[in-house]
Amino acid sequence: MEPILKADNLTRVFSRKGQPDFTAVDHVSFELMPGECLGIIGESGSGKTTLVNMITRLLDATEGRIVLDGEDITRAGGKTLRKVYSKMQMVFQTPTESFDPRRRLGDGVGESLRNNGWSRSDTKKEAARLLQVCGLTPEFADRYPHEVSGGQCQRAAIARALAVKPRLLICDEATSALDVTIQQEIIELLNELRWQHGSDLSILFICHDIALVQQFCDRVLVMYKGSIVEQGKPDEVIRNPQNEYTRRLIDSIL
Amino acid sequence: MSEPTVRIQKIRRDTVKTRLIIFGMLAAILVVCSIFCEHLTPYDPYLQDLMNTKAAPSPEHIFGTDRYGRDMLSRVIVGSRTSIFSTLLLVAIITVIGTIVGVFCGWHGKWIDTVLMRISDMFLAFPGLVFALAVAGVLGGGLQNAIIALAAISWPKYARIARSQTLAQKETPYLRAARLSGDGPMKLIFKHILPNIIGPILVTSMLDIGTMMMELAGLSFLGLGAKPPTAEWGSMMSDTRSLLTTVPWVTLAPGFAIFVSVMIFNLLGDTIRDYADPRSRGR
Repeated sequence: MEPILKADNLTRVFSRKGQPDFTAVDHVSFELMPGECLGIIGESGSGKTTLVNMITRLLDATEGRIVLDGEDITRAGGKTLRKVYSKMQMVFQTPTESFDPRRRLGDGVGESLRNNGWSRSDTKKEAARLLQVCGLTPEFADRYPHEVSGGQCQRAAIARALAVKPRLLICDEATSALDVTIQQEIIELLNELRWQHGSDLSILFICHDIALVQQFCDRVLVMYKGSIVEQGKPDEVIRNPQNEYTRRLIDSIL
Repeated sequence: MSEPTVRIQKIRRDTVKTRLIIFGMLAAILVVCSIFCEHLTPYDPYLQDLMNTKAAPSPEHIFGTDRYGRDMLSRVIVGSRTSIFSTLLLVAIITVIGTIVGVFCGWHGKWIDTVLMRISDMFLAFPGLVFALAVAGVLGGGLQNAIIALAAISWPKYARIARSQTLAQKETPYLRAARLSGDGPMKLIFKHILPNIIGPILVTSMLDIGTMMMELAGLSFLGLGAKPPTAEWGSMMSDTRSLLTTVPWVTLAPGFAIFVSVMIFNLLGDTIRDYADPRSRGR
């Protein structure tokens, strides 16, 4: 089976005049199969977000290749990139800030549909449906981001990500800003979506909570200082960590 | 503990609202008066009455008459059109130009940003009114040239604000989310960035109305703005300043008009700033 996402030797070097170059992500390669859920864990500063920014093309890769659904998107821009975004969507770490403070949640959810040529009334109906899928009532479409809780906003963010029926959903610390019970609810929602979509939806789950990854992901990559230091099934990695850093990470929780 | 604090905040917010209504009304009255100024004057502001020159304020001529016997009150009222309208026009021009340049720089970045910002630094480095004098001097007198001169020196402030705000908005998660929703650059700028940065820019321009009115009057006073006999507050003061010791009202009347309207627009700007302060929003 073809992988839905393939990262090939992805590298990002930040260089500034008068300072030594800083390699945030160092030759990272991995594959994500359709329907799979891949977790990436690592401490803050380990390069997880830089990696995600490169995959979503919000940041240029210094070196390496990104292949999404058989198409090389490493240098995609403009209109091509906008097409790419109908296959790949993202849920952000900060739910409230990921919505325009001056626009209603419904506008945010329906924005990608409007951009794909949907009429206003169809978009409205679809946004209401998506909000319901994500466990909210259609009335939330008329609320502003600051009027709803973080958990509700994150549900709306997931609804927004699902609007274009993406094949890849990237969750960049999507649960980190939420409290534990809400975290659990969001995980349940994601699980439900995985079950509904089967092999049509793959998830890249960036997280620093190894327990969540164990509960939710099929496979896990451990990142440390920009490189992948270990990978495998979450249970195996936790029970039998091979790498010194992974061992420390697990010890710190258990 | 928290209850009185909330109450105080509410009271404070209510007073800000009251102030906003009062000063908004006063400013509106001023603008409406300047629109309908011809119908409000008790006498023809350009009609000379040489039998009754330099008359002291009296029930017939509340602000007295000038050296040609023209009614000062009528002239001050008619002068409001030139003064207020050119000020509003000027502020609108610099707000629009500054915002366009700033948003463009912040969005595009790279060398264009550097070049345009260095140019704006150059304008900022000169003392404002002196530079405006030089520009107006080169262009020649007249109200139109005075507006151009003041616009040329005033836009960089707005460009700076718009640029920094755009840079801040560019990095927000919601803008990245909008990108991922497939928005093109135009849509990102007009639908997301502009609505979010326009608040502080508008507040600045409200506060600037007072300053610009003063500077426009200043240029007119120095003979580089409106030309006599056009009634304009600055040039009216300039015209009559030699009479200040003998017939003070002819200078004081337009001065008083400038004072009152600058005060009203400044207070309105202040109040709008208080009202639009993000920290007070949503309470």
